[in-house]
Amino acid sequence: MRLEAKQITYRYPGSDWNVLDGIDFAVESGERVGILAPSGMGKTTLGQILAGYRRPSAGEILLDGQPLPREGYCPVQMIWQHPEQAVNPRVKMRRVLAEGNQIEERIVRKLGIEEDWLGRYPGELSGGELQRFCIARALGEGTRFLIADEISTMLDLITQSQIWNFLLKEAETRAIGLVVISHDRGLLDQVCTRMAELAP
Amino acid sequence: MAEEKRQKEILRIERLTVSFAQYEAKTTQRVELPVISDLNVSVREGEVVAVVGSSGSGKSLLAHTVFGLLPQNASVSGDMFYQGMRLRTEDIMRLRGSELALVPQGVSYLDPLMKTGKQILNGRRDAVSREKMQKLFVRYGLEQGVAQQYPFELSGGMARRVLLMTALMSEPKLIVADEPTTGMDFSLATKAMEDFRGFADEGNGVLLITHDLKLALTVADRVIVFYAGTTLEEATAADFKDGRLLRHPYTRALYRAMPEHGFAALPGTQPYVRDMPKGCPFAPRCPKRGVGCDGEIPVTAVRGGSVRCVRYAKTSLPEA
Repeated sequence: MRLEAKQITYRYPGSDWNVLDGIDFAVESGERVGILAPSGMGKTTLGQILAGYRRPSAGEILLDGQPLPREGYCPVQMIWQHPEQAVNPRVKMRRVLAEGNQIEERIVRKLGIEEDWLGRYPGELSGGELQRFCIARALGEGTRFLIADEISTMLDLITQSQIWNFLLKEAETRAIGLVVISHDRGLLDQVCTRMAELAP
Repeated sequence: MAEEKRQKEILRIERLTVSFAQYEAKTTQRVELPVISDLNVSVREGEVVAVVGSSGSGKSLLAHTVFGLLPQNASVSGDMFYQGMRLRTEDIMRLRGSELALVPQGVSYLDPLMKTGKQILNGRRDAVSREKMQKLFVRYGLEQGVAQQYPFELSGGMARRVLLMTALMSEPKLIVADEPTTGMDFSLATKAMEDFRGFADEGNGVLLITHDLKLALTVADRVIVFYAGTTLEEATAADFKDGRLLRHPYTRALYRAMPEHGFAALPGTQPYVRDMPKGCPFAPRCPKRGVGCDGEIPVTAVRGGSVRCVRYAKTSLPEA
């Protein structure tokens, strides 16, 4: 499968400049592409557009030549930069996880999620603990591409390398294409098969 | 002598224990979950002290304890001293925001309905403060127009810079920064570190909570290592130049997990509070596990730092 961004331009409403201007980008199944750019250059915005959360001002996103499905499970899933803002604060973690459509028990265990945490509210977990739920939630069986937006900065080094090792293996066995957004050059060198610069 | 040393300390936390009261599911049985136990931290004048450790080990809770931000069901015991005086709740209320400044971890700590400039100024209207803010904007590469924007209009890294500026605007004695540089690119993060260093060099203190060990080591004087709610080791930054100088097996595992030192993932996870092992919390994953790991483990001073590991406390071991 191929996820493709064609001439993506994006301007925030009320703004007078394009945060993304004619971006071309593509990722194949099984590929792991790193995106490196300074803060505020539109990395997250591009991720949101790739995953269908935002509609580009111009240009299109194609999945094997077709636009992203408008309904049902989106094969392009995103893991967000701030886990505390990516979960509904008023539902317990069990329901947060259930949003992800058939998450295998195996994944939950591999990510080190404790049974006890399922009965808690998001405010009762640490940043790193929340992010494990967000990663699990994005790994439903229909996921073909995964956008990882600074997903490991809230994790300690050991957990970071555990979770990345798990994600890389998972992506490989299920042929999931990964787009990895990060400021950490060392991390990108470790996990990515190639790099894409986001030219201004 | 001990008295003199204490005076130069800005913050000292001894034997801190924090637990949360919870109810067992579908019962009225109340249980106490200890999330921090027997934790020691100190920050002296002129020091940047880094706190590193596993996620969920209580690093943010430590910051919240110092600022009195814990939820109602938390109970705290242990001693906290600020500039040699016992820090009571009413002192915290008085000092926070003026002498104690917090850079919180979550960008959700910004007021979503207030323009960023107003939040950074925090009620100040004088020309000096405005000028200071403008200088900070230039230093951290934000356009002046950002002051007129709301938090939702900022990118992750920009919001992080705003949180940092809010702390740098006031003139505190101690800054507690909880993951201040996540989402910032390397040059910005380096600037933030320089600012912390400069701030400490003026006779203040910084408690820098972070996962970015490499970055922290560029400015920190000491590194305190947390695991499962307790302190395992206190090391000097120089000890990290060579992994063999590190004392605790967990710190060594952390060192080897750095991308430049092998990216090695130690198997296993940090024990959950409900099934905390007796003795050393790291023992179930420890490659050097042996006799005495499940007993009481004292803190031992070793080579200018300290460590909580039986291998260094052989003399006080009970007969096995």
